[in-house]
Amino acid sequence: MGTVKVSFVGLPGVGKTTIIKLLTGAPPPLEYRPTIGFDLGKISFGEHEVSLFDLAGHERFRTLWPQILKGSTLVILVTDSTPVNVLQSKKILEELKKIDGYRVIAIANKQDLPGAMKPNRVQDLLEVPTYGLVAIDPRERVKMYHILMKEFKKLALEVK
Amino acid sequence: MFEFGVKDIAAIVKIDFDIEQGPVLKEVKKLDENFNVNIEDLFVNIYLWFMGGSLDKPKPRFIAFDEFSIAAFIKEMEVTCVFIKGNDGLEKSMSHIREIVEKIERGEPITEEKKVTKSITRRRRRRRRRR
Repeated sequence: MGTVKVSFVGLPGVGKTTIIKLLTGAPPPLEYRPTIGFDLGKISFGEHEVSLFDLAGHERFRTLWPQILKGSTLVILVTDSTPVNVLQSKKILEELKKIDGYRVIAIANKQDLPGAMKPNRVQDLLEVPTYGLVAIDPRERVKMYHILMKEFKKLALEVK
Repeated sequence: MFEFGVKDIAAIVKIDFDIEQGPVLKEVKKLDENFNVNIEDLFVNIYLWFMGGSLDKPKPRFIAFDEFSIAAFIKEMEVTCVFIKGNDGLEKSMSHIREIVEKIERGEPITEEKKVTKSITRRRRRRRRRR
């Protein structure tokens, strides 16, 4: 049994904390409460213990990212699926690519909101595998688990 | 544990939170000109120390350093930090705590609290006898 580190990055207010709450089974936050610096969640996944690192997206905290991202197996870039946010997230992605050693995927969150870009459109822009999600909907928990399972399999982590 | 007065206050610093940037230095009021902690360099760290993580987790209210201490007063996302000079009692308190920890690590009983209770009880008995 091993520990897998999964880190969530993205601009403030895109739903990183909500996705972690979704995965851990906690109720979604009713109002936006920013994460300061970073936060940590944990789930068991097959034989693995998965540490979920929630990295604050505020500019002044981004200097912390390289240190916190160290040892990550998977980095998940979260966007709120608005065109402006996706384009800004692309800049984050370019910064992430400078730090080598982990797989990056994206979540096109807030798919329920009007004007949300479809996951395939977001994927075209970001050029990384992208999955659509509505993190405030507890029913999406299974979908998020499947995303992780699929990615872990690609990373050759045996999930039973 | 510690005793502080108005004369010990070196500076008062207000740190607010911007939704895009993160912590922003709102106000610095130095009461002691000799106080040379570089607040500009430190305020993001200070904000992290007192507010780090998700907001629903426990947060410290007071942090003691070798040369100074910081007491924090939190109002929503704004943190008002009071910098206090010196650390009267810190070294003494720390070595006392270390002694207790060493006793626990060695598996020895911690009897100190009982002794204090006994001495208080003895004093009370003496006072009663005098009356």
